[in-house]
Amino acid sequence: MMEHPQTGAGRLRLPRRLVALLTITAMLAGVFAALGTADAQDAPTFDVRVRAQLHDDSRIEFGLSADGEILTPSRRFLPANPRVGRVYISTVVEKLGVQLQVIAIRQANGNTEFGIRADGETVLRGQIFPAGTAANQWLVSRIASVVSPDDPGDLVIYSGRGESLVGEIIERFEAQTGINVKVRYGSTSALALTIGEEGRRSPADIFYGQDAGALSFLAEEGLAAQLPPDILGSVENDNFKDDDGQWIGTSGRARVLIVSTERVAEADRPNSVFDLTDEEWRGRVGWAPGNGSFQAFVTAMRVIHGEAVAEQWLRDMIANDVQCRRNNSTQINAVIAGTFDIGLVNHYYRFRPSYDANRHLAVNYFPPGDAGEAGALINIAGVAMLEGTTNQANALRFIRFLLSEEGQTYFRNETNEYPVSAGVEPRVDLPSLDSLDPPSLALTSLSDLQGTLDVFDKIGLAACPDSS
Amino acid sequence: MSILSGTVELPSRLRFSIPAVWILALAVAGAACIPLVYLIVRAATADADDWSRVLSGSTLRLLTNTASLTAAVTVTCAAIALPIAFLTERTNLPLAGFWRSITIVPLAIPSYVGAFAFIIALGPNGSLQDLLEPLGVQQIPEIYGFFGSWLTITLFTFPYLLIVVRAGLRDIDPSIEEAARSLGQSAWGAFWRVTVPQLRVPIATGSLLVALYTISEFGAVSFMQYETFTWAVYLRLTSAFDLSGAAVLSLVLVGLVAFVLLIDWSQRRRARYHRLGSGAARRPRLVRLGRWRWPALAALSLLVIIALAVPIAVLFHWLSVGLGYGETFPGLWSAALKSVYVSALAGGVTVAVAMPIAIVVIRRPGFLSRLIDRVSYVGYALPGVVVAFALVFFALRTMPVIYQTLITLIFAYTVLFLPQAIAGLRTSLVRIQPGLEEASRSLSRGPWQTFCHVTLPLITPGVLAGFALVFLTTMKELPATVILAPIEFDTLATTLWGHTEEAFFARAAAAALLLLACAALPMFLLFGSDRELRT
Repeated sequence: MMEHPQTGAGRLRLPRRLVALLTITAMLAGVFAALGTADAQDAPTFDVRVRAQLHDDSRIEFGLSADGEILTPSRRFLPANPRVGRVYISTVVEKLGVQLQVIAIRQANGNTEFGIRADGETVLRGQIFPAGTAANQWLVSRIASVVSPDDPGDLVIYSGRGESLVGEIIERFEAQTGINVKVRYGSTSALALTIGEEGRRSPADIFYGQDAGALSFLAEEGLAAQLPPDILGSVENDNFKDDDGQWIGTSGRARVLIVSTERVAEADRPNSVFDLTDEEWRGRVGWAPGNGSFQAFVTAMRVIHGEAVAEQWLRDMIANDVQCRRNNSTQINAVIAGTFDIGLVNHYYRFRPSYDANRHLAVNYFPPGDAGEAGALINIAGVAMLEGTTNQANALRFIRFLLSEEGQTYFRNETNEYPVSAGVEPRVDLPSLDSLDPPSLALTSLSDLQGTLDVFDKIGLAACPDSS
Repeated sequence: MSILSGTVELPSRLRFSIPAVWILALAVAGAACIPLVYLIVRAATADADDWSRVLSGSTLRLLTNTASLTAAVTVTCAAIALPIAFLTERTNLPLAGFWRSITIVPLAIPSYVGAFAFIIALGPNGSLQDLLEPLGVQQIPEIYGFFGSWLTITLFTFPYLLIVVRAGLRDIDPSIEEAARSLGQSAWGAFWRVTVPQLRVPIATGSLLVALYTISEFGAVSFMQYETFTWAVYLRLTSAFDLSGAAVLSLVLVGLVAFVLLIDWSQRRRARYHRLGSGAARRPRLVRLGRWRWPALAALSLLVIIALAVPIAVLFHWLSVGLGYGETFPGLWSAALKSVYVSALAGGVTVAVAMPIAIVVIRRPGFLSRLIDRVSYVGYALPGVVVAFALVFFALRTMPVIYQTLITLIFAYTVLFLPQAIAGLRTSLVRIQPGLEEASRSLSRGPWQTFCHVTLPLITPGVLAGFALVFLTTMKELPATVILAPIEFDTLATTLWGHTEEAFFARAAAAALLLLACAALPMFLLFGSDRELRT
C-alpha cells in the first residue's frame, strides 16, 4: 500500500530534511542580521598617546599611537640640545579626520614634557620623559581620548583593481580620514559597464580602473565628472590623464618582454618587438590579444608607425606561430613551464610573490630610441569621479590621497608600479620613465581602440577576452 | 482536479477564475523574461555597424564552434552520467553513498579553475608530459582549443545530468522492471526496454541543462582560447565597451538557444510515466556486480582522479608554494560563510518559485505551459554578465531601493538558475499519480493542504536534486555576484577570482579549496547516507 500521509488536523508535515534545511538557512539569516547590526556602530572617538624614545645620538624621536595604530609624523625629532622652554611641534598626522600633532618642551631640569594637539587644541600635556632614560626603548604616555568631528561621511568605490593590490592603501585612507569607505571589487571592464548601465543613479562615487580604455568609456558616456585643476596639475605627463580632465592616472606600468633566462642568453634577447617576427623566434613568443594592455599597445603601434606597419607586424607574428594566451599571468606561467620563451606583459607581474622566487625570468625593457618603441608604452591605472556622486568632497580627497607622496610611495613599494606624481621616484631596480622614453601618445581615444579591434577582426586574430 | 488550484470545484460552466498556480507560474515566467526584454531595448539603440558585424563571416564560425562544442559536451556527459547513476543507485557497488556524493562535487569547481589546472597538468610541458616523457611520449594532444574546452566543460558539468537522472531513477517503480523480468526479459533487456525509456524525461531535461550551460559558458573557453558565441559577447563588452553591440550578438545567441529548445520540444511526446493502478513503490532489488565491481570501481576512480584530484593537486601545489613564502589568507572564513548562506538561500528560493512552473508543465500540459517552461531557460542560456546588466537596468528603473541588496542578488540567481530547479522537480513530479492528489482533494483537503501533505513528501528527491543543482551553481557564480551583491559582500567565488586575476595564486588556491569543501559537505549530507530518501 502507498504510505498514507498522516491526515492529522491539517498540520503541515514536511520531510525532515527539508525542515532541517530551512532551519539552517533561517539560523544563518539570523547570524547575518546580527553581524549587520554589529557592523553599523562605528565609535567616533579614539584613544591616542605619545610614544617617545631616546636615540644614541641624544635626539628624542616621538610619534603617536592611536587605538594601537602607530602614527609616524615626518618631522619627529627633538634635537640633541633643544632650547629650554621652546615648544617643538611635529608635522601633522591624520586619524579619523582629526589632525594630530605632538608638542615637546625641554624643561630646565633636563626632563622633556610631551603633549598632543588635536585640530590645534591641546588634548594632553604634562607627560614627562625623564632625563636619563635608557636609550632605544619606547616609552608611552597616558591616554587622551579624542572625539573625531562630525561624521565625515561615506565614499563608494568601484574598483577594477584587486583587493590584494589596493585594499591596503584604501584602508589607510579610511583610517586617516574616518570616511566610511565601501569598495566593490571586480574586473575593470565589467564595473565600468555596470556604471554605464547604472548611469547617474550609480551608487558609486569613484571608479578606479586598470586601464585608460575603461576610464575614457565613462568619460565618453558623460558619466565622469570634471576634475579640479590642482588634481590635474599634480600629474605632469599629459599622457597619464584625460585631455578633458575627466580622469587621471594614479600609477603606471611598462609594457615589457618577459624572457626565460634559461633558454634565452642575455646577448640574444630581442631589442624590439619588431625582432620577434624573425625566424629565430618561431613558436617561442606568446601574447594575449584579449588583454586591454595588449590592445593599448597595438593601438600605440598603429598611431606611431601607421596602420600598415602595425597590421603587417600582427600578420608576421601570427605567421611566426605566436602563442595565444588569456592574459599576462597565463603567459608568464607558460614561460615558466617552458611552453614558450618570451611573453608580452606588464612589468610588475615579475614582482608578484607567485613569480618572484628564482623563476629564471628576466624583464626586457626597450632601450630609448629603439625601433620597437611602442613596446615601451606606459599604461596607467587611474580614477574618475562619477558625475552622479553625492560625496564629491570625499571623492576628491581620495583622489588627492592617491596622488600624494604617501599614495605614490605605496604604488612604488607595494604594487611595484611607476609613480606618476609628487616627485616620487620609481624603484631602483626599474629603469626611470625618462630612460624608457615612452612614446608621446595619449591613451585616451576609445575610437582608436575600436580601430585595433577592427584590425584584429580583419586579419582573423583570435582575440581572447580577458575578464568575466 | 489536481493540486494548487485556487478554485472550488464547481459545475464547469461556472468555473471562470484563474487557478492560483497559473498566476504564480506566469509571474515567474515573466520575471525570467527580463533579460530578453533588456536585450531588445539595448539592441534597439544599436547602429548599422553592430548589425553588419553579425552578418560577417565570423558569426558563422562562432555558430559552428558553439554548436559542435555543445553537441560534443552533451553526448559525452550523457555517456558518463548514465552509467554512474545506474551504478550508484541500482547495484551493490561498494561505498555507494561515497560515490554518490563525490561524483557530484566536480560541479562546484569553477570552470576557469578547472581549465587553469588542466593547462598546468595536461598542457604543453605540463606535469602529465613530464610523467610520460620517460616512456617515450614526446607530445600529448594540444589542450588549447576544442579539446581542452570539451574536456573541461564535460568534466565539470556532467553532474547536472547525473543529479537529474539519479532523481528520476529513484522514482521509477521497480515493479515494472520486475514485470518485464517475469515476462522473460533478461536483466539487460529489462534495463534497455523498461528502465531507459522511463528515464526519458530526466535524460532530456538533464541534457538540456548541460547543452545550455555549455552555450553560456565563458571561463573554460577563455582559458582554452576557443571562440564561442558567449566568448564573442564578452569580447564585445570587455574590449569595446559596446553594450548595444553585445546585445545584438546576444540576440543571435537567443536564436541559437531557441533552436535547441525547439529540438527538445519536438522530442517530447505526450507520455505517462506514473503508475496507474494502486501499488507501493519499493526499493528495487540491487544488481549484484560480482567481478564487474572492479572495472566499475576503476572507472569511477579514474573519473574522480581527473575531475577532482588533478585540480585539487594543482591547488595544493600553489598553496604550498605560497605557504613557503609566508602568504596570508585574510577574510576567507567570512567569505565562506557568505557563500554558503547565499547559495542555500538561492537554492531554497529558486526551488520554491520553480514549483508552480513544474506543476503546470506536468499537470496542465498544453501550449501555454510548454511556452512558460521554455521561456524559463532564457536567463540560464545567456552569458551571466548580460543577465546581470539586465537586472541592473531593471532594478534601478523600477525598485532602486532593492538595488544591490540580497534581494536583487537572490532574484538574479533565480533568473539564472530557474531551469535547474525545474529540472529537479519535474523528474519527480512526472511520476506522481494525479489520482493521489485527486483523492486528497475529494477528501476535502484544500489545494495547499494537498500539496503539503501529499505532493511535497512524494517529490522530495526532486526537491533535493533541484536544491543541490542551484546551490552548487550559485557557489561558483561570478558576474552577477560581482555586480549585484551588497557592497563588500565578498564570497569565495569573488575572492578566488580576484586573486587569480592578480596572479596571487596561493591565495586563490586557498579560496578554491575552501569553496570545494563548502560545496562538498552539503552534498555528503544530502546524498551520502543510504536510501532513506525513498518514499
